[in-house]
Amino acid sequence: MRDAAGALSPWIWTIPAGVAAAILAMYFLKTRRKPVLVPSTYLWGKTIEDHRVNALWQRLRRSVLLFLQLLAVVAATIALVRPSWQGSMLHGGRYVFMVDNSASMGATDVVPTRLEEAKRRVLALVDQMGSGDTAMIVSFAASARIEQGFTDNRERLRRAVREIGPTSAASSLDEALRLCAARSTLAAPTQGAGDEAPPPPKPGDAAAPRRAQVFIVGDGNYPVVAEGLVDQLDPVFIPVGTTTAENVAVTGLAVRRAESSTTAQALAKVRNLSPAARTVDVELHQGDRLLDVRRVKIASGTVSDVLFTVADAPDGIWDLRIVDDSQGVDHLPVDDRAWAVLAAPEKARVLLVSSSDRFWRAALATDEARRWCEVTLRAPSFLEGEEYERLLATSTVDLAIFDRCRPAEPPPCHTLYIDAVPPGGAWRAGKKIDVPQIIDVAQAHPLMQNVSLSEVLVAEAVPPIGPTGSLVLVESDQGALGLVAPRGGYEDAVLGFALAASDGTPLTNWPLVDGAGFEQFTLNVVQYFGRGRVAGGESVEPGAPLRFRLDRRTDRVEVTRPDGAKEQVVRSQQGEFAYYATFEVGPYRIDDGPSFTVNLFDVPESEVATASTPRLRVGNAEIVGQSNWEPARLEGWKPFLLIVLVLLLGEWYIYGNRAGL
Amino acid sequence: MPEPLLTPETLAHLERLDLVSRKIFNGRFKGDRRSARKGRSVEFADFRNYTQGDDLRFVDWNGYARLDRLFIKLFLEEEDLHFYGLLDASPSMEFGDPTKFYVAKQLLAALGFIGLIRSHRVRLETLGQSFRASSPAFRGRHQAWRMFEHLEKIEAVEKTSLVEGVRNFGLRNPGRGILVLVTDLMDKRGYDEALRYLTARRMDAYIVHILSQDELHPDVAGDLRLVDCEDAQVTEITVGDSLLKAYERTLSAFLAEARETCARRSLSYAFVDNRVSIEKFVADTLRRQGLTA
Repeated sequence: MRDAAGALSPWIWTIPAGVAAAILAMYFLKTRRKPVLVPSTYLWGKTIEDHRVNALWQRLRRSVLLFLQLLAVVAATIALVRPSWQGSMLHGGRYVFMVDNSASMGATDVVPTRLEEAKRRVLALVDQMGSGDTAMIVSFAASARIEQGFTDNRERLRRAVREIGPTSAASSLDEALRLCAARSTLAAPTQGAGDEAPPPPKPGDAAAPRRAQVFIVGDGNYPVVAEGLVDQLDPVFIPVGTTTAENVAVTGLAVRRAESSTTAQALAKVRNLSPAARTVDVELHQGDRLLDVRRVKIASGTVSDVLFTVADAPDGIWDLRIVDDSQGVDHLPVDDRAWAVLAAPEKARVLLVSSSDRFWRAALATDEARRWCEVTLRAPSFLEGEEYERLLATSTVDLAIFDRCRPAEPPPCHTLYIDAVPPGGAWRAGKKIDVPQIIDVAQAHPLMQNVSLSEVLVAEAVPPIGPTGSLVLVESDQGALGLVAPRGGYEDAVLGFALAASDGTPLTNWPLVDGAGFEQFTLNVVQYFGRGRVAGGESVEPGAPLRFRLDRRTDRVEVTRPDGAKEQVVRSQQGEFAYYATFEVGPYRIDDGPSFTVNLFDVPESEVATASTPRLRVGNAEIVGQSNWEPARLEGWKPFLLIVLVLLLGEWYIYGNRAGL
Repeated sequence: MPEPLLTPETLAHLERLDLVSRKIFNGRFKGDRRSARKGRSVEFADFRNYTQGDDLRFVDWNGYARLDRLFIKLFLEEEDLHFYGLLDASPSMEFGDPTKFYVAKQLLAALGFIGLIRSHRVRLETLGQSFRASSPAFRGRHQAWRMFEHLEKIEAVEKTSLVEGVRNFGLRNPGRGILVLVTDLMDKRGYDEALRYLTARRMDAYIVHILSQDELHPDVAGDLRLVDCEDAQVTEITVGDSLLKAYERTLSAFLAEARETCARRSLSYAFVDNRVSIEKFVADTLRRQGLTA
């Protein structure tokens, strides 16, 4: 924080002190008048009096003292009214102040933090706004947030600035600029009482909304911004931070238990973002228990992989810490710790409804498929039983595969239909076709990755006709044979041909197991549709939502944040829980459920040392930071005060040497 | 031995002069002065008809014999004249070369001498005297030296204002006569009220306004701190041409005002500086003023 007396540094006080001393000196050096005893000063007194009265205007012309006094009074008056004028950087009287509150703004290379310094600068800018000027306050990290819409109420602006808090998220200037571009050029921005009222429409004015001057106050470690945005806004970048900031960060942590073993491994990536090499201790904890410690030396700008192997490793949240090594400072504490969850792998639950398990047994027998899913096989008659009714009421299944059959109503999960179309009016079955030629496969879609159908022949097929928005997965010369379409929060995939007839006669030569055959397609289906099941251990970026499902029939769970606070999360209509308040790094625990971790793991954000010439990269162009840019309004009272002091000195000098009349 | 106020030559010239009053005053003693009042002197003045009660000793019996009518012979009354000299003995009079005070004493000595040789009653007082402390009265040529000594003993140390001095003088001397007030009129409280007192006394009053050459043509330059000798008031000036011109204008206005004020109050005004010849002033200026003859 800037010193309160910073505006008037101590040496400034020597000027008035010197002036006072000079005035005193002139007082003592004043001309000593020769005393003369006279019979009476009666006539002289009258003379002076008459002279003053009669010669007022003549003296006005000649009295340097009076002239100086008048000048001093004028200058003092001007100084008192505190003249100021707008600097050339401001125009329009409409501003957007964008404050970066990403994780890197928590760096302490600027005391107390970069964020506080940025807020101080924005507050100074708010103070310098002229009457009638309006401004908007935006904070941005992973996402942008309008803290205060356009208003001319400075107190509200100041309050909004003061309430901006730090986050642990990465920076996304692009989104913030997009938001500003949308808001600052809108003709009628309103944010409640006291905010700027929409300007009355004027003829010919609609196409030229008032542009706002955008100020970006941050440390400048931003990804490249889309070029068109900046053309529209022409922002001023005010960098905060130092070029000598030091940081050692954990940029990655993964823990994995060896299959069928009590041994677990943790791999950490520790990056030195300081100008010099650093030696740090990397500690691995689980709760209060210290599992292992490694001392690593990392050269400047390099990353070091630290591998821990822990025997008898218990499940739970593992905590990696970089311990300060006393050789240097670490200006960003948020990336000195990382968390990971070690838990038993949880498999996707797949319901297979088929009259024959011949092909599926082969496809789901691979190691990879067994690692990913747990299959329940049911006959088509299952669809009319109570068990299916129960299934409809919960969402304990992640994927349902209906082979040549279909339920009366769609289940609350993702589905794959083989030679059938989903129930409801959205899907229709086309006319049966014979020997369609497969001509294209959507290899880019996860369901069809690594799947080869170029040699596959199909004897007969019923092309499905999907709802609007359906995506073709497999296309034949006679229509689409494979489609995928969304259904609320789920997706339905349909293959329009069967692998075998009801009597077991093969209807296609699609290989069951050859590395790119039916087993690969099945694995894709399981992995793609089973991804919603988060078994725990997933790490997300700060600010990113946590989505998870629970087997329990509950509509509400409690999430415990890293600081111990608890929050209720309600199940969505799609049976999914989503928690969005992941602003802090650390472990998030769910009652009777899995745990998640939020880690920064963002190298640009951890790279706190600013460039010697901070700049924003905008497309191919750059905006150079103006670190000294603070006064938007130029104060002019100081020169006038100086003039007053000089005039006083001159007046005293003249008065002391040439008195009176 | 201090220089005498008047030289023998001056005294010789003064012996030819007399004091003249424009008003008729009743003296207490018969003097050498012919009064406008008809009286018992030997000098015939006029006749008038006899009226009952007139003194039969003044009946012109010769005329009665010729004209068979009674006439009374009127003779000019010879009476003495009261001459008052009132001296401003404030410290401001002690300036000039010679000082205004010395010249004022010379003037009063000359006028007093004329009064003495004409057998008038002469009383010389100062403004600083209280209303009870009268000065001795002089009469007759033989008291001239006493009068001179009395004058010489007076010092310019009084700080009584002009108004108070004149009022006290009036209280001390209720009679009529000729009054010559010699002053510089440099009283910051003004002199108009003092002159009003004099007018009220209905005396034949003369104001002799005396200023020194230093006051008329001040020889000053530079940055000065003027200190008033009476009240120590300080006035700082830086002398320049404009200031000297302004002073001259102020002085002219001051003199003109004094003259006008005296005229308005029927007082005779005469201005004199400290370089004046007393003999010439008395015989010339005051003769034109009607004080001497």
